[in-house]
Amino acid sequence: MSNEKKVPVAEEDVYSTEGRWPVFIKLMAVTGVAAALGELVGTVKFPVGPGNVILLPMIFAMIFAVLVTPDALGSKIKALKEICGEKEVKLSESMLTLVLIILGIKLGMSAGPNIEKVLAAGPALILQELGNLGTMVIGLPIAMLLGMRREAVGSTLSICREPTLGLIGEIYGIDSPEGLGVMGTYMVGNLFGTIFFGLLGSFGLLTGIHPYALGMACGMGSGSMMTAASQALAASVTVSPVWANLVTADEVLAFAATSNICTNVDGLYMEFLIALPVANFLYKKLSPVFFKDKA
Amino acid sequence: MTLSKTLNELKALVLCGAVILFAQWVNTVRGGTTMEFLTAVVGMFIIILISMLSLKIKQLLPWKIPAFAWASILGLLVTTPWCPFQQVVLDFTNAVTTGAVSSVILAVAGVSIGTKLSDIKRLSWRMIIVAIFVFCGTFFGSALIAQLILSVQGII
Repeated sequence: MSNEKKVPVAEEDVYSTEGRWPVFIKLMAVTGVAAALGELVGTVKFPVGPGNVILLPMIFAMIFAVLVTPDALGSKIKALKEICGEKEVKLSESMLTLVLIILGIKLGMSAGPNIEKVLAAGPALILQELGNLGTMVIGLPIAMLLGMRREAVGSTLSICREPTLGLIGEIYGIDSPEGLGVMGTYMVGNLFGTIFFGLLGSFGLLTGIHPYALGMACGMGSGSMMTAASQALAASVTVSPVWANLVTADEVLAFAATSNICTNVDGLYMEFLIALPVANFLYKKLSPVFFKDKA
Repeated sequence: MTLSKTLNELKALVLCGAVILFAQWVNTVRGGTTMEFLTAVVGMFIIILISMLSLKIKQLLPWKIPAFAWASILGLLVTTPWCPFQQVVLDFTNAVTTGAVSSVILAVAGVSIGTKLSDIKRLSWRMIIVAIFVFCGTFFGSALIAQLILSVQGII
């Protein structure tokens, strides 16, 4: 890196409005309509076991938004591509960062008034970060059982968002087996992660684990997934016969927010310094068990 | 970090804010309640101001910490009881609901996977099973450790 000359190319301005107002307006119109439709559908509850599983408007908003994209209905209906085409999709990736920042502030503002509770729970907040290694402790043996080899190390290192792609790309190359593994989990996360965590946040409450602990579990390093998980959890707590009087939605969000700050700060370092060595160690130890006939 | 770039970020944020307030308005109409529109607009203005600050902190500091984290930290700091304008900030920003923000986030996220849907053909069933265990692993891994420590501490 050191011998690379720093070229003073102006950083690409992803929010440049020059000649792109139509793209901005169309994108925001599409998301506005999708969000509004989601809100009109409203919150859907269905009873499962002792509690409820909740589908929040945001889940429907996401489904409506996916439907109008070029790969979905856009491939059938030409007019849709005029409204939501490649340019709009490209811009949406940058806009997502901004809306997530707005949520980040709102979540921080749930934590601020509860700061004394958060500080008291400091040890739990810090130690639960190690729980992010659960991806590999549980995932790696399963992946190997299914016949994956080095792909298993990549795919179970973490929930594999963009920083992990970068990390594995740099160490092994993105075309390596490890790289393919990361890409696999990354793609599944793109397609199903948010909806899955939207359900998990709600289902989690049925396990009997305390909402504070579940709230901390929601901060796992992906903005949209943590949004889905923490909102679903908070909404479920407020209608839960067990927890509604003991825990407030704001407390849950406070723990989700602070846990997410922790993961944002330590996530990449933990993956590099702890998760990857442990994954390689586990892989070495487990290989003779799973692959003895082909060794 | 040029002025035009900063202005563009501001414009984009204002657009996001407008869409969020619209989603929230639809929510209140459906629920049959009224929205404190003016308060919410001022609240959104405060939030956008803090958003700009988070973006600038992220751009100025060399650490690999996303702006999202700075946003949470700033949001937390201005609403602690030790902050002299805690109450003013909360009075306005509480008029903006997290629910509406979330709906817009997932709508944008929905559009953003629009060109990735064809990936589904490249995924093997193995990958999907492994990813499910990976997602559950991080969630319940953290939850169980937190549960243990919180009960040892006597908080729960």
